[in-house]
Amino acid sequence: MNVTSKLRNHEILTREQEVEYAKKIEAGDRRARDKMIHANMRLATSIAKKYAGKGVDFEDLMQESTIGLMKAVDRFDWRKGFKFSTYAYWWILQTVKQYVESNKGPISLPANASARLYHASKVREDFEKEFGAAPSETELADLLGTTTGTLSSLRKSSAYYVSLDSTVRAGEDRRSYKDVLADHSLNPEEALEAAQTKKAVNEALAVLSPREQAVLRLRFGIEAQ
Amino acid sequence: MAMPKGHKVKGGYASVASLPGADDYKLIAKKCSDQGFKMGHSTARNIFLGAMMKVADNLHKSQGNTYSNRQLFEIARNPSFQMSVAEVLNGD
Repeated sequence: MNVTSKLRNHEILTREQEVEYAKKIEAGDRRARDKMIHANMRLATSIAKKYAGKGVDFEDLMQESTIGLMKAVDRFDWRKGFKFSTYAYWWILQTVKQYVESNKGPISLPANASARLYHASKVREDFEKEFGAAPSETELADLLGTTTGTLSSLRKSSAYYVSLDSTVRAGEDRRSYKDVLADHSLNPEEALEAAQTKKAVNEALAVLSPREQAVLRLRFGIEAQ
Repeated sequence: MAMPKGHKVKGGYASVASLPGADDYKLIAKKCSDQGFKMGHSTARNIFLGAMMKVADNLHKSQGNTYSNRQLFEIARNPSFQMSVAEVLNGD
């Protein structure tokens, strides 16, 4: 039985049941706490799924979203009159987001930088929806009230790296990135050929008159570089 | 000038657009004239193609091949060949 099937076995609580369990949790009832957590695991899973494929394992995401759910259960105040899921959503989301941001790459970004990056992606999405085309870097920077330089540094530091040994395809036909990525470097034979060609071209250029050399330089923009 | 029907250029036309800082023949003629090599834009083109023919000839001779002037001209005006020489000159 997989996780999703197991989750289906837990009934969703009504508002009245939530209040009832919240009161029991306040009184220190551990079983009521477990029941509340189990009943809301579907919410935790759905949030974890949103962040799958962002450079962290799904199992870890599930664990973090469960931690967020537990925090929400411990802090829920039934007297405010809200449904538990409304309150828990933000706790789970915050825990998962923080985990993803600090674990998706070797560079850990401060929370405000992560928030700005997230904001940038939302603004880009909205712009695309409205105008049917992606905004330029300058337009995006203007919309966010920042500079293109800051935006570029944020983006560079948020890039995550993948090990060449990590698996692309699992199972019997297992492949790692180093198996499937093309090697564009020259082999010794090609490198020798390139060096010989370069030498031959340079020798050929030596026989040109100063007038021919001047024209060639201008035509190929060598003078300008 | 209208081209004969069915004319097809091999390898397209050479363009300076893909080379940063490269000049067209009119500008080359002007700059060369300023440097003391007086010429018009068509002379600049002929000098350029002549130089490319010399390069092509020397390259092929170094590999033990000889080509006719007609074949060398075709190689010299080929945009791919011109781009390859430009890459070598630019140290890529």
